[in-house]
Amino acid sequence: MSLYDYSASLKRMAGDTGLLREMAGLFVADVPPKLEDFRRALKAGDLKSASKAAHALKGLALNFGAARACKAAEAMERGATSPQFDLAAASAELEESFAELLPALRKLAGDGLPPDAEAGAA
Amino acid sequence: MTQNQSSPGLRILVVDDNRSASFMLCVLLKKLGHDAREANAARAALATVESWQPDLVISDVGMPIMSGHDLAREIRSLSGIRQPHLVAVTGSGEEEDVRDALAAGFDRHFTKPVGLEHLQAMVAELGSPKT
Repeated sequence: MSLYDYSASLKRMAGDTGLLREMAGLFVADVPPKLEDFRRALKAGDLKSASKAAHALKGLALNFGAARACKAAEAMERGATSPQFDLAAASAELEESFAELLPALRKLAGDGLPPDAEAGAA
Repeated sequence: MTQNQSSPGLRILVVDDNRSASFMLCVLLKKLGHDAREANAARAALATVESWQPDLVISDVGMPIMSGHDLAREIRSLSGIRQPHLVAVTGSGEEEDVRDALAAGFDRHFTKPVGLEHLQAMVAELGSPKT
């Protein structure tokens, strides 16, 4: 299963592969500092800020239809300030989902090809 | 890219603290033949609304310091400008989001991710500048 929705993303961007690559480049640049914001907030016990950082991460992942990352970020955004929330599990899921998404979008920023494309194809 | 024939050359301000989101929408709007600018904070957006007087403002809601709802209320309270159409964009499209957006002064609500088709729909619905 793809980590993100190449076809839907390209369609949203008017079929412009150059724009898709540029957006992937922005994602790769923007996500690490947002993840740092999230970790810093979590470490400080500032759950409101952690929720806001998760909101920002969700917004970045939404552009690419990255289902797992969007779901993880949304769960953190909504749940972070709730007393019954399993913060450790949600945090781990958020970290893992973005960790696997980042290299895929770094590749997209480089070649503009779908994730399942053969090297050298297209 | 097809030029929008119904409402060419609208002035459209895109507001989002997520700069890649505002960048993408501006690129697409320019492809559609509109004059698009971006602001990455509500305060900056408010200043641009006053000085540039856009026809349409597309704004994120969940922004730090000043929310999109506050921005809409501030814009609606401005006198001496031609009031723009206001479109709210949020990560979830629950009934409460739509209701809150309309109550704050937005004309319309869209759920992220917003792409080309949504922009075409916004312009088609709201393309005529308000009088």
